[in-house]
Amino acid sequence: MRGARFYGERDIRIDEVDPPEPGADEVLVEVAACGICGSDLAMYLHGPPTEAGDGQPYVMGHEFGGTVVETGDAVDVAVGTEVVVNPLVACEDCWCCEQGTYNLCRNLRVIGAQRPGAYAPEVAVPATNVVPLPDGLSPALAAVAEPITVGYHALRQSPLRSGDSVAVIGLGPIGLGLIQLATDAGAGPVIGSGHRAARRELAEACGADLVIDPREVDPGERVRDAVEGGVDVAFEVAGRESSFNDAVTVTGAGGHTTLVGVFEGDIEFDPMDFVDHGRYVDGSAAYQTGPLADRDFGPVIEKIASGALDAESLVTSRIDLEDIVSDGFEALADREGGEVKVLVQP
Amino acid sequence: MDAALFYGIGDMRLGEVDEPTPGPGELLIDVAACGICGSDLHFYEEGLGREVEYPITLGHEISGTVVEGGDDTELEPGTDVVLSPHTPCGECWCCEEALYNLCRNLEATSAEPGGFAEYVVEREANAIPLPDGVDVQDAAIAQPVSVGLHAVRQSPLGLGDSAAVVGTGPIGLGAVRFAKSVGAGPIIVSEPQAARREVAGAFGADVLIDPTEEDAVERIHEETETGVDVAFEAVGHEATLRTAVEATRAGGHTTVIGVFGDEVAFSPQELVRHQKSMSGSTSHQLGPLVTDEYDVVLRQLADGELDASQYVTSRIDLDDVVTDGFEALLADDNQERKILVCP
Repeated sequence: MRGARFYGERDIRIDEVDPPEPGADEVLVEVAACGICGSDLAMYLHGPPTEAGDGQPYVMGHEFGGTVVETGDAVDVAVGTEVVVNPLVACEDCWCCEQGTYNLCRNLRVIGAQRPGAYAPEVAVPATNVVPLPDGLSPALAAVAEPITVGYHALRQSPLRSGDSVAVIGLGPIGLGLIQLATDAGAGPVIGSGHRAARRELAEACGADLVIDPREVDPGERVRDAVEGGVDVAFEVAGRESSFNDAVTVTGAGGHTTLVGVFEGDIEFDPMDFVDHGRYVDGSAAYQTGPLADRDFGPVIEKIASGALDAESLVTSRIDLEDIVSDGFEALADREGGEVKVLVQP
Repeated sequence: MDAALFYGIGDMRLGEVDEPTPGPGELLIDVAACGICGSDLHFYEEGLGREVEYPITLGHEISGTVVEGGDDTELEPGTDVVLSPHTPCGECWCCEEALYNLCRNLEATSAEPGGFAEYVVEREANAIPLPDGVDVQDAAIAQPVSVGLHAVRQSPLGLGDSAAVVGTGPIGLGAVRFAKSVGAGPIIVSEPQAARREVAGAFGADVLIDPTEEDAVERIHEETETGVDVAFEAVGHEATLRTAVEATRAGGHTTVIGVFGDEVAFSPQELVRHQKSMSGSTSHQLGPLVTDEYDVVLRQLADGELDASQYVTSRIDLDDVVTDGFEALLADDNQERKILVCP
């Protein structure tokens, strides 16, 4: 079969690869759609490639839904089940797994990074990692559940409660999902900040009460005009120095910032922003997995199926595998472009 | 009366000033002791960073005896007290939420003049009577020790948790003492100065690391297998902040107490990948809630759990505040920790 593999900076090739064979406790999923993630994009633009044991890169792609077409001997899931896949594979043996924090597994392997992923027609995954879909949610659209679930886990980890004011710094799919989730949780005002005009418009449609272009106005000042003292909670969903500092300084004294974005390398910040103001920051790592693989995914897919969350409006393009570079990665890299979530349909 | 007059960077001299007079609600206090704080040293070296009419008198870690009270005061002359250093404004939104240490309008020092003087006037609301068994000079350490206490109370540190304290000057020592009080263990300290490391052991630390001899993060991970539950950064440098954050386990917390002069380089991915957290802690409760923390410290001084003689390295006369106080602490080979000026 053909799969998209990642060789290095701006070097993705569609190769003939061996079709996957599920092990005894695994299932084979026929991929309906796989989304391109910001972290994939970062790897595409900056490297390095992921490597398998034989020196060849893995097929990438970790945000996907599909149908179970084959099962290993030791598996309960029925062939034909439509699923979204939780791509984090926990060892269930290290101290983090023993404590139930499977997303912090010391030996975590990600489907699409440390084992073959879903920019391909089929992928083998542990049976533990498939989450059956409720009626009314197609496997293709379910691929968008993954980034929304990242935001959901972060929101549940944060102290955000009904009535709290909140800022979301970074308006990619995870940020846009967070705006919807925060609104759903009763927060307000909900403030979004992002560089791309198309995403700011989408943020308003998702429920943001105020959107900011951080290149035009200082987010801290603008937020304090809207909310006395600053917001209760902020989410950093871009992974850059400027967004980190914005996400801290838009909160009030005693405020809480949750980092969701993936950061590459160091940033510069002023610790007195924390010391003098009693502020708090934590990092959120993806979502629960292992035996709890549906702990975060479950509520999200229910909310998409019921219409409480709008996943469809986050999808700006559906493309073929063969066009993954031109219409996928390169389109997303264009910061003036209007792409938000691009789904690859292999 | 005599007072140490600060004229500007590097220029402090003893001078004669009028003895202050207590107004309504205020007390005149005969200063027993006033500690020299790192922030005092910072002002001495860099100036105040805000508009002031020089000369002024520094010093906010003050204890002493009530001499007389203005109208509407209750404390009797002869009462030994320790002072809270600042008066929250009571009107900003932080004060409304009882986050008095985060008051948006905090003055530098509430006592008039500052504590490096023979007498000060202070609002009675900021004067806490000492329990029996607390030496009036020793009580001056309540303020700096409370900074460490507040940091421990703000953190998630609880019974059975492991802790690391990076930097055991006067602030870090307070964190060690109260980490021990809440039942944390092991308590692991990283501190390059031998004397400070040893006294951290006396204050309750279980493992003492010299970071100039070994890698503190590696050693802490060896001692705990996973990393500590909570780390405290009590220095204010880029490298020690990294040490503190990297010393914590996945899901662990770092409380930053140190005063930083500059921006620092930092890896947020350390927080994201391992779901770690970090917060800042400043000063201690103030205003009506200052006794939340001062009472704990005073009780520990009274029953001997907190040993002021281990915390204070020198007690000096007001006359010697510059030579034996400020200049001694700023010297390259400084071995002092907390110096009390006893006018």
